[in-house]
Amino acid sequence: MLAESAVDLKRGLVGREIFNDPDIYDTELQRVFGRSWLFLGHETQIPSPGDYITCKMGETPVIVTRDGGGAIRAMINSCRHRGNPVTRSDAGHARTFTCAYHGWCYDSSGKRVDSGGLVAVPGLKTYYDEKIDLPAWGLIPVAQVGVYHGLIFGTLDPQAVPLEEFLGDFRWFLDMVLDRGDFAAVPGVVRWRMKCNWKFAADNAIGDNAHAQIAHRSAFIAMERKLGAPRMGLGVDEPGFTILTDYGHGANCKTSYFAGTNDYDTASGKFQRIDPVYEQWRENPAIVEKMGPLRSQIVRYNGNVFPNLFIIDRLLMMRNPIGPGETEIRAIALYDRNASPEIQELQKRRAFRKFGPSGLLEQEDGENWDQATVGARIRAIKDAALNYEMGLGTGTFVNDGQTPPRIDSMINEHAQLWFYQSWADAMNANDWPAWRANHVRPEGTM
Amino acid sequence: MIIAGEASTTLEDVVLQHDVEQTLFREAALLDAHDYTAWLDMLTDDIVYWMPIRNTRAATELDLEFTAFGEGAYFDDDRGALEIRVEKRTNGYAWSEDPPSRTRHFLTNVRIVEKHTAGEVTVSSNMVVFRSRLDMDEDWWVGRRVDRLRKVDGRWKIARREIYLDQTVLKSKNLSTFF
Repeated sequence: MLAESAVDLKRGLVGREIFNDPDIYDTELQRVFGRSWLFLGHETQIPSPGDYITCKMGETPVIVTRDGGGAIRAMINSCRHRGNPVTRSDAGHARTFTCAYHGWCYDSSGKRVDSGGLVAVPGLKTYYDEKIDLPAWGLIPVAQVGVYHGLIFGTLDPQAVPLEEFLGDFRWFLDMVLDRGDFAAVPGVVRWRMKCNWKFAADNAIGDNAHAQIAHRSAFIAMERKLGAPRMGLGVDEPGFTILTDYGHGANCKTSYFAGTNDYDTASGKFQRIDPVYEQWRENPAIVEKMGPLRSQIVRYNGNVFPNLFIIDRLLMMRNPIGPGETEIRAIALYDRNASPEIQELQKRRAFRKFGPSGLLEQEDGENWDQATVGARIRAIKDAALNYEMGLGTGTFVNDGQTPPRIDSMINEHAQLWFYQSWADAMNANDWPAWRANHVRPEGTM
Repeated sequence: MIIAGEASTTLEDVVLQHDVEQTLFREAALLDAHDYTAWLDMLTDDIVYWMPIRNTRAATELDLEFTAFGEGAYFDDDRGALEIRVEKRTNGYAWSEDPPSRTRHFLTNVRIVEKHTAGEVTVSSNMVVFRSRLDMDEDWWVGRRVDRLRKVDGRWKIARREIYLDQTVLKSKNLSTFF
């Protein structure tokens, strides 16, 4: 059980210890990363049978493959003999995975109980007298795998609710992002490490719009001076709303580029300015219709699928913990196969120009999350909780059926508190049924 | 791209080698001194500044190790994009570089691997860039650089830079440095 002081939703406080306590971290690996549906990749990264990618579920190394029947499978990348990884590549094409230590060889489809799984062991006859039960010693599968709109998810917990239930109302947001084109992954997985606790990244992802005008001021000014791009003002509100759903998902949806430049013309239903790299879909009436009037107004968004998938523009970033004080980010970008060839080229070439380690915006994030993690370790003030009071008591959930539960405000700390309370619920649950029964619901006022 | 051509010792090539090396060393010194205005002046108007993404692949798939030009990249910048980066870095609000990082660019194994017509050369070099930041942050970026230099008004300028890092997972919180 977490200490009461870890997350105080009513007072808007979050304890520093949750960002560095090794026991809390160990519980996170079991109860948050061991139970949640976690993003593994995009199905276009493994288009053909035998294609595979590797990734992590928390700290657990995983292989994601497409089997001979075209189904996506995921298994833990650890030989049943001595535990070594059976592939050490980041991606590739393989019929089998052979451990480099003693040569245990696994079918790449990972079918453990059927004929697949462990298919060969050197010396099976000579050394083992054919006594190994091959089907019983296949790679250990990820308990459940699901695909939503091309996004591959997996959970290590056989008791987990189905993926669609876990995503729940947040599918409204995912549909908005993923219905805006015919998306495929841009070749290239960007991976980099920060010396930060993963939750500072998630806290930023789900709904920290207050930081942008300060942390990213240099980039906004540069883009304004060089490109004439509208700049976010200091201390002003923005049109838009925040959606928050069960199990800790959430997003900000902006209905204008920046405050004071609400360029959506209600009469014509058109924007004054359209960036074709992001918004060529607006020229496609079928997509506009699918979006509906409200989602069509959304020009920018950022969101987090609990616990650690950040979505912004067409970027999908997993933030995997490597201990309480280190995080590895794995980013992929999507491009729209319906867009014109010129736009597709720009979508690929500029995929990581704003976000990513070299990104004009994200350079500051790395610095800030590292520094926040340093601050969380200061022993002398360990009981001085961090302040998440922005908008506290004013965020009333609107449940009018137009959107998932939403709060009609863009700049607040409701989303961060939502993330931390949902995280605390997961941490306090003994198993999936308990988490399902006892978690904060998006209703009332925050 | 010639990986390891024969060395030339003609006087003309020795002088060219010296000229090219001193140009690249000067550029490195400007970057380490944070003199980005002078640095931009060493780039041609049509510069292509590109750092592909690398991943670990089996020996049989090594041709897929780097992303190709036109795919995802850490940097895929033209002059305009580089000017935005310099503007960002110098406008007084770039907190990831204020206080500024201390960098040191090391270039070795400089080889002219191709001489083109119209006074252009392709130069391959090995690169180590060290960054010390705040108290204890230290980053090392190691890789190969392939530059195309062009003589403009009697001075060498950089017309293309390709940076091939040896790391697949960056151990750095960001790439707020020029390479």
